[in-house]
Parts: sequence; C-alpha cells; structure tokens
Amino acid sequence: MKLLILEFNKLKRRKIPLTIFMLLAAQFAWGLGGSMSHIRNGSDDGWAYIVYFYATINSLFMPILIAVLASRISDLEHKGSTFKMLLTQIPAQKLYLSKFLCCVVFVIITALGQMAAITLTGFMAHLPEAYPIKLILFHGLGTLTASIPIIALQLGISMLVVNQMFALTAGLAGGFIGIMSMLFPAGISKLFLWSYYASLSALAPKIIDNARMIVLINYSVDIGSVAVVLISGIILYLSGSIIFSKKEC
Amino acid sequence: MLIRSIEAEWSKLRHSMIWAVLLVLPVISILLGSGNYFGNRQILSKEWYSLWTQVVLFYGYFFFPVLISICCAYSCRLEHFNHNWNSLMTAPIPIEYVFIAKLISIGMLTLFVHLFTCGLYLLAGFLFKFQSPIPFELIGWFIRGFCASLVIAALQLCLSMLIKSFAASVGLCMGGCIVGLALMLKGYGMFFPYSLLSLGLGSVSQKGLSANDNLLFAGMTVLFIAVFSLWGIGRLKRKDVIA
Repeated sequence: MKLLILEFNKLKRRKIPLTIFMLLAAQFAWGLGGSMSHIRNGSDDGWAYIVYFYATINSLFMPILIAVLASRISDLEHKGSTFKMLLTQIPAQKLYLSKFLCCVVFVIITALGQMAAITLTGFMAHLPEAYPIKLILFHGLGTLTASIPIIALQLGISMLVVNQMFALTAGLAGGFIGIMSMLFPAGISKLFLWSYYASLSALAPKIIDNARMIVLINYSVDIGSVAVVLISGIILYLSGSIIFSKKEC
Repeated sequence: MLIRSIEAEWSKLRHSMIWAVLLVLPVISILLGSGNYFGNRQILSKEWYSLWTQVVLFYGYFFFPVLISICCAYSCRLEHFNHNWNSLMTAPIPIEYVFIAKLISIGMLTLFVHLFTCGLYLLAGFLFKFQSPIPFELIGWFIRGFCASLVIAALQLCLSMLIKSFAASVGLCMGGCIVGLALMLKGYGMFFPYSLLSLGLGSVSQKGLSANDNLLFAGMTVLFIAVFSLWGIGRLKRKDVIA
C-alpha cells in the first residue's frame, strides 16, 4: 500500500488526470455527435446505442491511453536512472506490482469517467427510456477487464525498454488492430487482445431492415472471452515481472 | 551549414531502431486493410479505390499523425537529456537551422513511410489481380498526403521541443486528431492541420479535390508550415531554452 501511495506521489504535477480528462472529453464529444443521429431516427435503443458506441471507440482510445499512462509511470525512473538505487530498497516484484496497480487505478478512474460521460450523453439526448444503471456498470466492468492484459503488456514494454518510442508504437499498433478487428469475423477478431472492449460490453449490434442497425442487450457473460482476457493478463504480468526482476538495471 | 545540420540530425538517429517503428504501422495498415477488403469484396467493388479506402481510413485519421509525432518526439529526445538543449544552443550554427534540419530529417522519414505504404498498396493490388488500371489519383493522394504530413511534423516538432515528456506530445497529437476528425465531418477540415492529412489522402472521398480545393489545400499547407516553423524558430531565438 505504501509503495502504491509512493507511485502516486511520483506522478504529482505530471498532468496525468489532465490526460485522462482530455481523452474523456474527446470521447464525450465524439459519442454525443455519433449517437445523436441514431437517436433522432426514432430508435428505442438509445442508451444501448450510446454504451455500444463508447465500447467500440474504446478499442481505439484505451490502448493508446494505457500506453501513455504506462510510459509516464515508467519513464521517471528511466530518465533519472534510479531503478538500480530503488531496487536496493524494495524487491523488483513489489515495485512492478505497485506500478501495475497504479495503472489499474487510473484505468478505473477512466472507466468511471466514461460511465459519467455516457450518463451525460443520455440525458442531453433526452432519452425516454429508464436509466440503465446495470448496463452502464456492466460497461465499466467490461472496460476494466478488457484493459487488464493491455496494461500488463504496455507496462512490461515500458519498464523493460528504456526508449519509450517502442511502447508508444506498440500502443498505437494495438489501437489500430483493436478498431480494425471489429470489421473482421468474430472468430478472427477474438485472436486480438485489443478487440475485447466491444465483446465484453453485454451489447451486440444487429442489422435490421434497410440496413439500419440496432443494439441488443445480452447480460449473459461470455465466460470464454473473460477467461482469455484474464489468463492473458496473468501470463503477460508474470512474464513482465519475472523478466524485470532478472534484468540488470 | 544546413547540410551538416541535417547530417547531424541523421547521425542522432543511428542505431535507434526507428526503422522498425516506421515499418510496423504501414505493414499492419496494409494487412488489416487488405484483409477487410478481401472479406467484403462483394460490397467493395471498386478494386483499387476500395482497397485504398480500407488501407488509409484509420491510417490517415489517427495512426500516421501519431507516428509522425513519435518521430518528432524522438528527434528532440536527445536534446531533452543531460542538458543537451543548452549545448545545442551554444553550437556555432544559426538557430533556424536547428529547427529546419529537424523538420527536413523528419520529412525524409515520413516520405519513406509514405513510399513504403504506397508500395505495399500496389503490391496488395497486384496480388489481388485487379483488372482495372492503377488509379491516376494515386499521384495526387501521395503528394497531398506527404505535404499534409509536413504540416503535422512542423506542429509536432514545436510541441516536442516544448514538452520534455515523450508520451505527452504523442497524447496531444491524438487529441488533435480527434478534433480534426470532428472538424472534417463538419466541413472545416481544410482549416485544421490534423485533418489535412485525411483530406489529402482521399480516405473519405476518392473523387479527388477540385481545382479550387487543391489551391486551398496548397495554400493552407504552406501557411501552416510557415506559421509553425516561425513559431518554433522564434521560440528558440527569444526564450531562454533551459534543458
């Protein structure tokens, strides 16, 4: 717990909340614009459409945000070459865990911010349906779950490679793969870790007459997808932690 | 002196593995775009044009600008370490050459990425055995795309010189791309630097720009490059650059 608080102390005045806020503002603006045209056509799946819209653009934004967060969290020690000194005081695995948890906390904050943005979007659109608290909580949980392996991957790259260019490029490639994988058949998109934001959102699009899309809610949890995501996250975290602890800093 | 400044910038990139970073994104873009085209050939029937939209859609909106920002951030990375800005500012070269040399070296990197992407696009088209000829519009997409990439490079270079953090300037570029997308959808894309790339690449409409639009595009490109370059050079000359 002390190490986690120390990590947050190191990030003071590094404007990470501002980074998260800017991402949420951009998602809100895009979500509002993208949802309005669908809602004005008289669809009765307003809330579901808004949540699905946020889930799909998460495939683009979240990998890049996580890459930026992991890079900012790691490059303090890289720039000052203070890893060696730090590792004389605390075990490498504990340092790695504290940085991982720090990233997870920021992603939780981002997910909560998205839930607020979805709520604001829905109220601004004057939707007639009741407020779907369960759906929005499901979305938040799905976002966090889908982010776990990506946090593990990005943190591993940022901690192990001094030059943050590679970590940011990996995040960029991940975002690209995430947004493009939605265009692929379900079987192929599930091969990519970055594509699980939409599939863990309890929502599925359906094309009805005249190529109009509606969004259906399905609260049954896809155990297979959750298992893939969590197992991948554990493997990536353990790999990163073990390699970091054995690495000469 | 300018040539030597450019050579110095190139020597900073040696052994940096930036080539790996520059090659990854076009390869992913072509693979995913081609895969999507192949899976939807019944709907995407315009061969070369349809393949181009699939390849450059998200590439032009977000990923090429962010790749340019990574190159700019890397170009300024060495100066942000070990008080190297102070050393660079005491070097016996005109201050404007510092900025121009960086811009030219980044321009050469983006030209390489652009050529590589176009080459992979042509290869994908030949592998798909397209019946129609290679579109003449490709020349315009290439030239306008490269010019628009220089606009983003000039702006991102200014930001990377200001901001010490590698990730922060990349994050700002991402934000700019989102704003650029919104402005482009509203019809104001010509007046914002981050949306010029999508317009120039023809990722939204393959009809190409009209003569007036081409003139406006060229004018805005020159204006943006001039404004951002003057801002960057002016800041180096006037501000006490403390590393």
